[in-house]
Amino acid sequence: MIIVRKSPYELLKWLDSKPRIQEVRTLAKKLGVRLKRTMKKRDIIKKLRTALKERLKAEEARSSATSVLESSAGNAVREYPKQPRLPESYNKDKLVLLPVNPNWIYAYWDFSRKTRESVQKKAGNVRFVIRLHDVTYVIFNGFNAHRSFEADVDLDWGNYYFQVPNPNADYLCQLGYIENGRFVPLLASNVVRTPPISPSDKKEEIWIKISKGKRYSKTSEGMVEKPVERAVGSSQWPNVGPVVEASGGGAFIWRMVREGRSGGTL
Amino acid sequence: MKSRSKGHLVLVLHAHLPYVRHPEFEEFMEERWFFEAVTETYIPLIMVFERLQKDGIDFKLTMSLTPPLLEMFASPDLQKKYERHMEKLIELADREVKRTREENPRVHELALYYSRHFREILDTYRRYGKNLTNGFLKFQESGNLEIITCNATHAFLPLLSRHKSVVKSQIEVSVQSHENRLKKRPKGIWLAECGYYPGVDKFLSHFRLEYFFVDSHGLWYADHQPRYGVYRPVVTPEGVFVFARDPESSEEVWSAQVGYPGDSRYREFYRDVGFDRELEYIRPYIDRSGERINTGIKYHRITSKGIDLSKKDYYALADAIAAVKEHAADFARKKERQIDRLYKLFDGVEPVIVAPFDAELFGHWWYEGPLFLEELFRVLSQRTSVIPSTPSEILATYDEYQMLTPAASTWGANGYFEVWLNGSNDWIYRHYDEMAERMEEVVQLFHTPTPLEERCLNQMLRELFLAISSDWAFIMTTGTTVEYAKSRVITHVLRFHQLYGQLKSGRIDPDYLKELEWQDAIFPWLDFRTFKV
Repeated sequence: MIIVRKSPYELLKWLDSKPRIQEVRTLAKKLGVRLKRTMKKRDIIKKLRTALKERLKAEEARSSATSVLESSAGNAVREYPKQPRLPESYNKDKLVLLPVNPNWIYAYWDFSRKTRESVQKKAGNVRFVIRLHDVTYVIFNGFNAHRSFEADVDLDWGNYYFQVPNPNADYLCQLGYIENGRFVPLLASNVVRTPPISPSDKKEEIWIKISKGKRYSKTSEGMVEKPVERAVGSSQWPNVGPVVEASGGGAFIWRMVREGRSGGTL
Repeated sequence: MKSRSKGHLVLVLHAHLPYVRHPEFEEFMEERWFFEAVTETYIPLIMVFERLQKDGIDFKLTMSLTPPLLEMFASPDLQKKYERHMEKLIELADREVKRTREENPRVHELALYYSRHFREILDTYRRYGKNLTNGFLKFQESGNLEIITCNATHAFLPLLSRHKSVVKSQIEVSVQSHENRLKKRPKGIWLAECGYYPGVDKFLSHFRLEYFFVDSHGLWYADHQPRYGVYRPVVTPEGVFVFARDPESSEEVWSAQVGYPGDSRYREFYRDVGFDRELEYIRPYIDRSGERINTGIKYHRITSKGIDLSKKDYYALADAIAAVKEHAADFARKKERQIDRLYKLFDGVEPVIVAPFDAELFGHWWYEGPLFLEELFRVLSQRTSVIPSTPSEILATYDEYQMLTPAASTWGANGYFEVWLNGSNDWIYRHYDEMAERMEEVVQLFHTPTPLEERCLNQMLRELFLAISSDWAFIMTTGTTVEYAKSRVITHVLRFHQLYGQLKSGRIDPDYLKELEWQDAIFPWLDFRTFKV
């Protein structure tokens, strides 16, 4: 057993799971509970329970003093859970895109109470969808994307991975629903650019002479030596899991082909 | 006519560990990461530097010492714990000396070696006042070592770029931390995980950082093709210089198939007395829970790949040293050939070969790694075509640079962001995002804070910084000690929110705050105003 700052609550539960005597002794030591050499496991557990309950009380007193957390909107009040758990929602309308690699983009979302209520009213009558737009070099007005893609979503998923057609392209997404054949957006995201995956085809090079601060350009003939680029692949078709249904293309392999990073650490 | 080709070799070691310090526990398993790295990597490197200097070998090495590592070096409680750890280890080595006398002469010889070696390590540690920063500083002053910084808590910036406040403060604090601990302004920066995105250079330029590094494809896929590939530094339109990683060098050293560390004569990482000895005997030297761990006393060599661990042969230092010499000579020869080829190809333009590695791979993983570096510098001092150089020396030599914007890239598996964003760790980003927004909000709100509010704001930024270390996402991906990484993220996020709630409701609990300032004590001088953009 590794005791990594478990809460008193979790430790109390753990004591019910028939731990071994050495483990119980270790916990006592880490908690600073004094034991006699002759004590039986049952007695040690009893003593630990008392100590943990005291701790729990102290923690509850502390968190109840500060249990009112206001969101930046200033209207939401949430109780802090007794057992340390991250909030499931921050009650803000949010749709965020993050690039994963040249072929994949990650989206996650959250809702304000107001949006969540209005969404709940629609549930069952409409089809919830997420739309991804290629907005490379355009200011998106809802209709001018180069291409748009749509997927059905369950809003409770909270996130979605898109496989996208173009590296080095700008994407934006919208979350909404289809009602009477019309798309009604609820949230819009930030714009992200996928990383490039090919050498540039520009025909010029820019150089600078630092001492003079002077820039000049030359015709580009590409790299003097063409590099051997890294292939991404595997001897087997990668098991990409249920989230990813698309086939073909894409460098994103869930099971890392190469182990670790530059050779791994720790 | 004899070839007069020449070029530069820039060796870079990135030394980093996440801030793992638990003063509330007498012993804490994950603190051993730090102890092991000190014993097997950082001190052996300093000892290598000492020997090279003594022999008049003018070596040139670049090292990033990350701010969390500098903080841990300076932490009095970790210093005390490390000494205690080493005293225990020496005690174990001495017991091994006695025990192996009857067992086997080869093992006994190794036990004697460990007993001597650990004492030497501890002596060196004390000689530098228990703070290894002093050791590295010594070689910065002698001009052999160029120490650079790394963004404050090793946050993975490409996925945080939405929040200029986060990126800016990570960069500003990287400079402050370096100045604070190393008494000098850093010239260059290692971006955590070699994680670069177009735009980050604006912040580097703002804080007068002159150069950074990218992986090879960062230049290959730049907005203009780099004429000399990765073999010459370039400059971004913001005026920051960029060095790119040479794929050949890292492959030669680390390739799973032909890389040096896999040689049969080198020490086997996975055989350790912590696992080999009977429990009753080894118990005082492993984790208190009785969980077996690596102690650092290892008697076996790799022997051959794929062979069962139990069938490994004994390690012999002399054979390992012979391997080191062969490998150093081989690497030097390869660099010479590479430079010769590129020099001709580039029509007399000197190639610059950049070889960055995780420092902890030398010594911790590859036990003989520090000796390899030592031997390499000895070999190179006899040759003229491969010039070991630091980035600053190179930038001082040349006047003309190609200007381009590198492509977003990292040195992680497959070269992009998926190590730090995938199904195992994607849940962390919504919390990072919320922390950043809340921090931005309170930084605006509390422009004239009371002293208590100010402490609370500073601590909030510490919690945010600790939560966003790239190490946690990385660990979740690799699948080892995942629970610890998760608990660290959760702990810091919850502490942050707790402080936020207290601050905004005007009910700051001074005891709670004090406890967090003690437990999460990174950057005692931190000023939350760095978060203002």
